[in-house]
Amino acid sequence: MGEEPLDPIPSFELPSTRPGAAWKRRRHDEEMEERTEQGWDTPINRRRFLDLARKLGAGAAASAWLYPAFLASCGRTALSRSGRPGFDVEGGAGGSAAINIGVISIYSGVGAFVGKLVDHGGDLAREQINRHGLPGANAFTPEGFPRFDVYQAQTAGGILGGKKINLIKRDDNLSAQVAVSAVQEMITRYDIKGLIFAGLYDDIYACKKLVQQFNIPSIAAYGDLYSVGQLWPKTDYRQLFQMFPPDSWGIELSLQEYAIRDRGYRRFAYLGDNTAVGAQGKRLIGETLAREGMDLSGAEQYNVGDVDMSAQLTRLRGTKSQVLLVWGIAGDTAHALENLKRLDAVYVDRPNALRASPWRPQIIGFEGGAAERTFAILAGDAARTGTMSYWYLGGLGYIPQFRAGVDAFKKRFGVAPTGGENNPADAVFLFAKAFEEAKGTEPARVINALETMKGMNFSSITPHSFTKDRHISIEKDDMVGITLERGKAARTSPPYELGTEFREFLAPGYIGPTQFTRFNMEGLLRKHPKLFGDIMLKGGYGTQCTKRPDPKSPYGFRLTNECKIH
Amino acid sequence: MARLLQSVITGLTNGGVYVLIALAFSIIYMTTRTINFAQGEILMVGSFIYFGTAVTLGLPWPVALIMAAAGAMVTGLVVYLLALAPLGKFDPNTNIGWILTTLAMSLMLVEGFRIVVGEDQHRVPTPFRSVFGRTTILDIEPKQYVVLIVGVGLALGLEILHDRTQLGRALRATAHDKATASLLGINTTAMVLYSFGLAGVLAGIGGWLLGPLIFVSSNMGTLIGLKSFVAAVVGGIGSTRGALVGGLTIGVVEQLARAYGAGEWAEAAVFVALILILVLRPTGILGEALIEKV
Repeated sequence: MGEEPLDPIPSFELPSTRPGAAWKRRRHDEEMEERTEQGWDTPINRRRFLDLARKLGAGAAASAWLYPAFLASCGRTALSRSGRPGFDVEGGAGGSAAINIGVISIYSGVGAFVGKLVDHGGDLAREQINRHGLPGANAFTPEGFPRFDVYQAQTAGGILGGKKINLIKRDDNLSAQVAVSAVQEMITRYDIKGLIFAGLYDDIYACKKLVQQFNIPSIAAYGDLYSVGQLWPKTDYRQLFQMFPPDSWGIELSLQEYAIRDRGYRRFAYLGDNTAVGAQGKRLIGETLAREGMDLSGAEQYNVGDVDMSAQLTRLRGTKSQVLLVWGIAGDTAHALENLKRLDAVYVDRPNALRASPWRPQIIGFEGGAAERTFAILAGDAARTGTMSYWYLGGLGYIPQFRAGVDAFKKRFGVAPTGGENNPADAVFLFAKAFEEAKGTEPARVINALETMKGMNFSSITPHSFTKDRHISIEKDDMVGITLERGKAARTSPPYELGTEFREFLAPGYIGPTQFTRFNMEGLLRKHPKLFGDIMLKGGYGTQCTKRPDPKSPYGFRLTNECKIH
Repeated sequence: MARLLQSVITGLTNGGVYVLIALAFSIIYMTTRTINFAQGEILMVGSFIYFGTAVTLGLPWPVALIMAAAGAMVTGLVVYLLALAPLGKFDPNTNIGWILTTLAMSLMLVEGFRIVVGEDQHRVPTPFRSVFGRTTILDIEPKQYVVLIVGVGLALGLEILHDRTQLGRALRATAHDKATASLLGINTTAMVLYSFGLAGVLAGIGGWLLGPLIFVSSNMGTLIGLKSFVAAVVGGIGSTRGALVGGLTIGVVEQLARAYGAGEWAEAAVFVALILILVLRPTGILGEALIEKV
């Protein structure tokens, strides 16, 4: 028996003379496989290439056309986005008539809130100066407070006869090496005439050679070289000026004056990040404790961006420390406190912290961490009233004299300032004023102008100024404690009242840091008798616990340390 | 001993998210022999959708979870359609363009969210604040246990699904030999789409779980994605059980490094574990050597 004949293949299973798209695709796939076997991975002929290029071109054109619409739908404009860090120039006034100032900050990752502060403060200052010029003498009250209405009525914008200021913003990506590359680009491509450091501390060290080589006047709006003796005239870094309150002063204030002398704590533990912030903080804390004959009971480290710190905190719990010093930026500090909450170790009050069992240490944090409102928002209820930090008497937006500035800020950005925006704003202002006084941008003359300039209250209450042998713009007497308040006074005996700003200015239930001046009152009264004495102290601004009547005191009361919370 | 126990439990709870994303890596690998390097970013998309619906719009969390999973699934499919489908039929061993295209999708998602949503971190409340009136058990919060329970539960569920159902058999057939599976009537394209969609859903659930543990931000998925990839490789990529074992192993190794070493070495420990395991067992803990006919 022979084999049965095969059934004929139905015609619909054969490829038609005009093959469909699916069949073409299959052919194409087969071709690709064949070509791959032959070592050709891109089997594309001229016709196909032209076809693809046409489609890509049309796609790109459509994208470019749709991009502004897309951004507009998100509530932004193409112009505002074109100046994002890493892409372009912020200012919209390019060309030879513009003066470029570089800004290096943290625009991404866990430290992105820093970049936002810099954007807000720096942009507002730039816009105001480009529109209204530098404030004239009549734009200040006799006490030195700004008169915004007078300033905003000025019509001669820009500096040096109408030149506009551009900010060239770049992200350091939490890497000093990235910062160096960015500064190189700013110098070679944008010919920056000034540089604002507002990112990692490490950036300022890493860029030193570059800044010196090109003699770029630089201001550390955020970043501390003073505490480690790296500021002019102790080193040859004459180009660098610092506005940031030094960690050494802050640690002296919050650890020595507050924790040890005011609160009576004796056991301290440290948890810090793996950047220069953490390393510098740990060293300065160790030195401060050594001066008091003490030592850290325990010290742990985490990587920036770490979420789980429970192991480190579990080890620190064993030290029975009364204070936990957390040295890192806002997001990490928030994570640390959330971990602390998991260990049921959140701060309650001083008596509990002193007992140390169960472990409920008071938290003292780095100024870029625990003094930030971002920290309070992210940490939620793990951030307790009485969390301590430090800053300087800077942008007190809530006092009546500065409210017009806050209103302008809200109008521009749609949100209220969270604190710290004044530093980048003042850095832009200082450069603008220095260019004006130097009658140009020649580096030596600009540096000289910065060293001899009289301080003005542009966006800070403390007028920033330098001298030839002092490249830090503030003084020790400007320092204030910062404490966290949660919108209503914690119940204590004796009770304390929230600062006036919580009643008059801030939204009900506002949670965030505020000034805490009890242990630096003398210095503040010496340096700012009108502002601190007559406005803040008398007006009840900031945390004033606990207030006791005292006819002998200048304002009829004195502040005591009876308060159990802070 | 208590410290060891607590570290192991914390590590297991942390590992829950790695399990989910490692599962996503494995499922995609099964059908396409490629790694979707945008998987961590799909998790980020899920987290943002959950944040937007639960926090900004105030919708109930189960609704927000469904929307997060659905949104992440769509993102997963879009990643496939934009990053892999245009490459046509290719041998992933010789044509490695997919590495670049999936990495490109990862970067585009991060940058896109950064530009549109902003760089801020956002706090997401957890629906699981206490269990039996307790806010912590062994110093670990209920929301962390939920991660472990969901991670392990989904891994076991998928194992059963893929082991005992027609769909699972079709998937395994596609993974084993795509051409033959196609000849047997299995719609292999549908299987690939299914794997990308399912991986997206897993990432969306991961985003929902992770949001309350770490803050939601545009770059939250990058490191999680990388560690989960390590977990998938350690466990044996392409294996559901491997993803489970790998994810939990990485979580525990990381936590033990924190507990018994220095805190800053925890991440390095993960990669040291990867190298050690690959040296000792190149196919991963539960991986099997792939034998191909030539």
